[in-house]
Parts: sequence; C-alpha cells; structure tokens
Amino acid sequence: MADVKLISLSKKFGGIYAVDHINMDIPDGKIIVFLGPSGCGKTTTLKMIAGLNTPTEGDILFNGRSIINIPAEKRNIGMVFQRYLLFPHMNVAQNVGFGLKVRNTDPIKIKEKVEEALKIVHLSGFERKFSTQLSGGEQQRVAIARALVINTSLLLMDEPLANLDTKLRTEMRSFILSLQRRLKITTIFVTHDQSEAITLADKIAIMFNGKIIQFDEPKTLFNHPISPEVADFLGATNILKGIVKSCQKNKCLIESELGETEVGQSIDFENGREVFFTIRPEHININSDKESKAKNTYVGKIKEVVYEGGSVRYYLNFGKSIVQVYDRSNKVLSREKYVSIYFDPEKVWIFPKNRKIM
Amino acid sequence: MIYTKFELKYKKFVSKYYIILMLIPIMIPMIILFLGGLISGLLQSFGYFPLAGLRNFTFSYYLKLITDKGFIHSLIFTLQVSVIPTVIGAIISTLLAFSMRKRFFGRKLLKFIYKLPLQIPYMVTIFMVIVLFLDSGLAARIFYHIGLISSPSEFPHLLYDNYGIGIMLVYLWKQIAFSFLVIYSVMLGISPEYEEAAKVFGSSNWQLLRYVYIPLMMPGIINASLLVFTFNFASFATPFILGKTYPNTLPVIAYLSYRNAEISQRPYAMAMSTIIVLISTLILFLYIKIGQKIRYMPTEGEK
Amino acid sequence: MSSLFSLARRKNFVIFFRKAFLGAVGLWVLVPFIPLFMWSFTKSWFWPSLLPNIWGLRAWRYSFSPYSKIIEAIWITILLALVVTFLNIIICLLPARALGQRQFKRKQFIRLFILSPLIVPSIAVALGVLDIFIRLRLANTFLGVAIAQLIPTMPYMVMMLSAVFENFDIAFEEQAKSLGAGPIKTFFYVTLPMIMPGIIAGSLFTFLVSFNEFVLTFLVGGGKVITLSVLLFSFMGGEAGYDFPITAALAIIMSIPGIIFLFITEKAIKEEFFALGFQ
Repeated sequence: MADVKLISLSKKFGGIYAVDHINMDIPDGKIIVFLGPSGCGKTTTLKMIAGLNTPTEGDILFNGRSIINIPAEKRNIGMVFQRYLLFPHMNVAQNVGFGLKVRNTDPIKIKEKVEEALKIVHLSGFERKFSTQLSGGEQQRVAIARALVINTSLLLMDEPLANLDTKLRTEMRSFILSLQRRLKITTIFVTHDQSEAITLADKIAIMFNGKIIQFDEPKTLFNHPISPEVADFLGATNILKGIVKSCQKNKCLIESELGETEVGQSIDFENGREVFFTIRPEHININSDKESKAKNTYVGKIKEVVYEGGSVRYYLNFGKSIVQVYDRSNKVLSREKYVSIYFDPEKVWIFPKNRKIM
Repeated sequence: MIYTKFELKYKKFVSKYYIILMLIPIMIPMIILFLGGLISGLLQSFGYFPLAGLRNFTFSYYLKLITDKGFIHSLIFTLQVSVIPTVIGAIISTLLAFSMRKRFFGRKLLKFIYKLPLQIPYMVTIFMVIVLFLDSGLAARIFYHIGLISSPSEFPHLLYDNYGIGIMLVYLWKQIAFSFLVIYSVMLGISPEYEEAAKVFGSSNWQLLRYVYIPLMMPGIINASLLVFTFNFASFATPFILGKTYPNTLPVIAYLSYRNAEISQRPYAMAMSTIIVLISTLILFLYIKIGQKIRYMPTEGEK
Repeated sequence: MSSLFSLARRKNFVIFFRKAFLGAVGLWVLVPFIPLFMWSFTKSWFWPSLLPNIWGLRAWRYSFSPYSKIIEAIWITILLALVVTFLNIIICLLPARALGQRQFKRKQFIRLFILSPLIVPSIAVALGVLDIFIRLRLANTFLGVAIAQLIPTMPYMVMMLSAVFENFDIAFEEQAKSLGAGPIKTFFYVTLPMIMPGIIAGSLFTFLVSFNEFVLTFLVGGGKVITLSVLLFSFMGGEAGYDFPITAALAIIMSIPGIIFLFITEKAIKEEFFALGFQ
C-alpha cells in the first residue's frame, strides 16, 4: 500500500520557486503522470519525493507518515532515470541485485530475485552482460528491473523513454503499462510528451512554472482543459478569444472573429465578459457547400492545406485567428477556396480559467 | 531511521560550507608546509628570527647581499648556466618538432626516446655526465684513441670548472625532453594547410620553418623556455655535485650558507632563497603574460 | 635542366640532414646509458681502454647482497613512495571532488595555488620548512620526509583526481542512494570503482615523483633517511676513487621505474601531461 500525499510542497532556488506549494493526493496502485514543459519543476518534485532534494517548505506523507526527514536511502522508493544510469563497472545481474546487496540480503536470495525480476522484464539470460553490450530498450528494462527488485511500493520514473527512438518508445510504453497493471505498484511518471501521458496515465497532473494547474483523468483534461495554456499544451490548437453575449442554463452565445457561436456549456460568466474557448480540429466539419444550415456554420477561405496521408489539415483565417480543421473524409479542397465549416455546440469548450497564452 | 535534529543541523552546515570543508584536507598541508616554509623564509630574510633572538625588520641583509661581489658572481653564474642550455635546448627542440611534423617510419619510437630523460632522476644524469666527461672518462678515452690527447690531464676540464659546463650538459640532456614535448604539442596545433600553401608558392622547408612555423610556435617556444629556465635556475642537486665551491649557483650557496653559517647569519641564506623565489615568480609572471599575447599570423606569400 | 638537378640534390641533402639530425638527438639520449651498463658489468676498467678490461658481476652481486646499503635503500624508497601515494589519495580525494564537480568563486586562483609547488623552487621551500620540521621533531625521520614529499606530489594527484571527477556524473550516486545505499556504501560500491582510473593515474605519477625525489629528502631527511637518490648522491660525494661499477648499478636500478612508467603511460596519458612530469 502506498498512498502518497504532497502537502504544500515547495522548493526554492535563490529567490525563485522551482516547485510552488504543490498539493496532491496520489491514489494507491495507479499511474500518475506529471506532464509539463522542460523546467516546470516536475523532475524536482520527483526528486523531493525520492529524497534526493530537500524541500524548502511543505511535507510529503507516505501512508500517512511524514517522510521528509527520512534520508533517501531509507525510503525504499524505486527510481528510474532518463539516463538509465546502469553502473558501468557491474554486469546486469549485479546492477539489478544492487538494491538487495546494500540491504545485506543473502546472495542466494539475491540470485533468485534477480532472475525473477529479469523474467518480468523479459531479459532472462542477460545476467552477465554489461551495459555497453545492451541496446537502449534493454538498458531501460534493466533499470526498471533494478528498481522493482527491492519490493518497493512506489515507483518513480523521470522521462525514462526520452532517449529511445519512436518505435521503441511506443513498445516500452505498452510494456510499462502492462507491467504496472500486473504489479499494481503506485507509479509516478514524468514526461513532457503529451501523447505519452495520455497513453499511460490514470490521472495527469499538468505542471507549469512549479505549480499544478490541473490534475484530472486524461479524458477530462482533453475535453475540458481548465485554461488555454493547458489546452495548448495538449495539442488543442484552436484557441479563440470571444465575448459572452448571453448565457442561459445549458447554452451560451459567444461573439468572436468567427461570428456568433453557440456553446452547449453552462458557465456563469456575465455578459460582455471576455473569454477564451476552444474547438478541437478533429471536431470541425468542412465542406464546399457554403450554404450549410447547421449550427455554428462559418464561411471562410482556405489559406493552407497540409496532406498527412489519409487525412488533411486545413488552415483558415478568420480575422487574426487561425482555425485548424482536421478532416479524414477523403475530400480534397484546395487553397484559396471558400468553404464552410461547422461544429457541434457540445464540442466547444469555454475555459473556466482564462489566462493569456504565452 | 529518521534524521535527528542534530543530523539535520549537521547536513545544513555541511551544505553551506561545502567547498571550504572539502578543500581543508589539502589546504592544511599546503598552508602549513608550503606557504609556511616560504613565509618563514621570507620573515627570516628580513631579520625576524625569534629562535636566534633576532626581532628586526630590515632590508639590510638584502642590501648587503646585493652589494656583495661573491653573490653577484654567483647570480651571474646561475643565470649563465641556466640560460645557455635553455636557448640551445629550445633551438634543438624546435628543429626536432618541425622535423617530426609528418609521419614516417620510426616516428613513434623516436618520440618515446625523446621523452625518456624526463623520467630519469637527476642523480642518474649527473653520474652519466661524470662517467662520460671526467678527465679520465669515456669521452677522454675516445679522444685518446683518435689521437687528440695523450693523457687524462690534457682533456679539457668540463666538470667542476669555472664555466659549469658539466652542469649545463646535465640540464641539456634532461630538459630537451620537456621542451620537445611542449613545443611538439604546440606544433601539432598548426594546420598542415599552411605548408601546402607555402609549397604552392615554391618555398623551401627552411623558409617554411622560418616564416611560418616559428612565428606560429613562438609563444609556445617562449613558454617552454621560460619554464625550463626556471627549473634550471632553481636546480640544486646538479650544481651541488658538479660545481666548484666558488662560483656556484644561488641554490647551492643558499644551502651552504644555511648549513655552515652561524644561526645569526641565517637571514642571509633566507634572503638568497627568497631572491630565488622572486626570480622564479617573475618568470612565471612573464609566462602568463606571454600566454595572453596574440599569436601572429604569417602572410601567405613566402620569400 | 641543371636547376632540376640541383633541386633534387638539395632535396636529398635536406632529407639526409634531417635524418641525421633526428638520429643524432636520439643517440644523444641513448648513448649515455651505454657506459652505465658497461661500468655495472665491470670488474676492472682503466685508462685508456674503451671497453672494460675485465668484465664481471661483482657490482651486481654486491648490490643485492645483504651488506650493501642498496637493498635497504630500495625498500625505504619504495615504502616511502607507497606511503606518500597513500597519503596523497586520502588528502586529495575530497578537494579533487570539489574542484571537479563544483564551480565557486576564485576557483581558478585556488587551482593555481594547488599547482604552484610545481613551479616554486623546492630549495626555497625546503630551507624554509626545515625549522618547522626540526621543531616538530620530524627532521631526519621517515615520517618527516614522507610529509615533506607531499608538497611536490599533491599537485599531480589533485590534477588526476579532479579530471576524473569532472567526468563523473553524480546521478550515479543518486541512483545508488535511491536503491538503498548509504553514503559509505555508495562511495565504495559506486563512486570508488568509477574513479579508479584517476586514482591509478595519480598514484603512478606520485609514486614516480617520490621515487626520484632528492632535494626535500636530502634536506629534511638530513642524510639519515637513505633513499636511492640519497645513496647515489653519497656515492658521488668524493671526486675520485669511488666505486664506479656499484654506482653504475645503482644508477641503472634508479632508472627502471622511470622507464616502466613511460611504457605504461605510453598507452594512456596524452603528451601534454608528460610535460608536467618534469622534475
């Protein structure tokens, strides 16, 4: 059982908060992903949980008990780094067994457990190899085995897949996912890759500038991001500014560079209030029939067409805004053509928190 | 195990003063022995020597030294004996480095051989020179067989002589290794394209050396020579064994003065010692200054 | 036509001259060893022969006999070198780590200070410390000489160790910690093996410098701590009439570590480092 709680956790360097009063409840047995751009403080947070960094403020609770004053080597937390960090002067078996060796475990038991661990990561028989003889994926798996073998209840992973090529990354991703599902170890995974986060996470914590902006299931994050920043980071590229015309129970009308948009969302913003809203490119329909009668139909000129083999992206200008449409219907519309786009009011999302996008 | 309050305070203290704490192990011997030795000598040279009941602070010892003929002679002798091998060594090393710029069969072996004298102790070299150049030494015997001399006494006195030739021979043998290494590595930094360009203009090797390589290598040559000069200047063992009682080099007379004179005369020995350090430091200074000098570029046309 | 001829001849001359020059310098280095060898295998050799009149192993047999001072000197020299090396490792480990891993104010200055014994004349330092050693009752003792020899050797050890530390990623230590290793275990299981090349390189240099060292040993040891270089010096004390064959044997023995060192480092260390091995 490992339920981890972060209470107002902070780390200050000089006068700047690298990690700014983070509060989080991490449920047992799930994969949590810290997602954010480089330098947002996710690695620092991870290191504080591991004990490799000392917090300047706040507390970390492990099963209800504070572990802040417990040195890293006594926390029994498994950690896997981006650079694998396999000890170069030890072979695979010695690497994997390292955690047990320093706990003065019986050598025979060590051998047993190492074999077990290598089996789990599908590297049986690799005991005598050295890190220079292993491929990136193999090294990564050794690092994972090494972290698992100490029977930890919390696994921390700091961008472990960043150094692998795309195909390997995808493979390792599913590997880690199935591993975690099987072993049910609470896992905290750090990455800056949003597709990786969405694939792996039970819950994602989005971090900007040392603060956690949103902590939700991937689906919620995807469809109802709390602010334009979050949306932008998750690849929701159509972020538009508008003014609230009127708002009723389940419906809102917004005036923007598109024109008037009906939104099937209930928020309590007053009339005249400036808001940001988004509609995902894949939720917009496009056709050459300029006379469409569907709700939220707008006519515009195609500025750019990008073929992506099986799907097409269209870029249209509305005033100063660029709207991106992702279409998989096999039609091919050309540049400079006037077309109409339309979308379902339910698919529009007005940000509850409006902050200007950087 | 949880950190106790004491341990937490200790951790904080360590991380705050980390650098200083880490440097202590080496600073203690460095300051007590190295600095302590130099400063102690310095103080004594100014007449502050409590053990002998001297508590002055005066330049008088220095003044007396500088005006002492014997001292001046020794100083000149030391300079002489240090400069000449340095210059000769620099010339030879430069020619060597230049000749070795291109690969050829046996180059690696030759480099190994040239490096050898570096790791051979001075004592051994001194003995080599004795064996070779003693009046009845090997060189003398060769001369005899060629017919140049007929008895040992006719062989020129190279050791224990007034010119310190034996001393200079030792220096030369030892230091070619050092200056070759430095000058060679400087030369490696010179792009071979210069040579190609020069050849196109029809210049000979000699001109290439004189107008291209030497100017480019000059800072390195000078640096190597300054270092070598310092080593020679401060050298003790060689002149101690191969030199006459008078004149001899500064390090030797400093030592003799220390050992033989009464304790109240100690400041003289220390003053000599300090002068040696001063001259070495001066050279070091020059070394650094020259290191900052802009290297000058040759023009493409030779002749 | 004729100009082509003389060009070729000039070229040949240059090539010849260069080869002769290179060879001459090579000989200049190697030739002095020859009489050394010859003298060591001499029973008697007098003027004016170019070769020993009577060859013999007398010198070598004497050198390795129990009543020569040579065997004892060998032990003392080696022991001294080992002690100095060991002390150096302990002393220089932490400072080298700080120098290799951290940036701090005046780092350049401190570095220069630590390296300064390589340039500052050891005679001056020796004369200055002698009083301190006498007062601490370390003069004329083995321990005193060992401590004195720290001065010229610490720069080498610090240089080599700080170089490995610069390339050492402390993330390895963090990884070890996260796996449960405390500071001591982390050091012995992870850090130490990974910096071993630096320790070995530093030890080689330190050993050699100590082995060949004369001035400090002579002054601080006062002639009572008899290392090989002090012994060789004593053999050469008198101007004439001393035993050349034994001295020659001793000289050869003293040259061996230097040659071994060259062979070992030929593979590893770059040429620039050699230049600093000058004594």
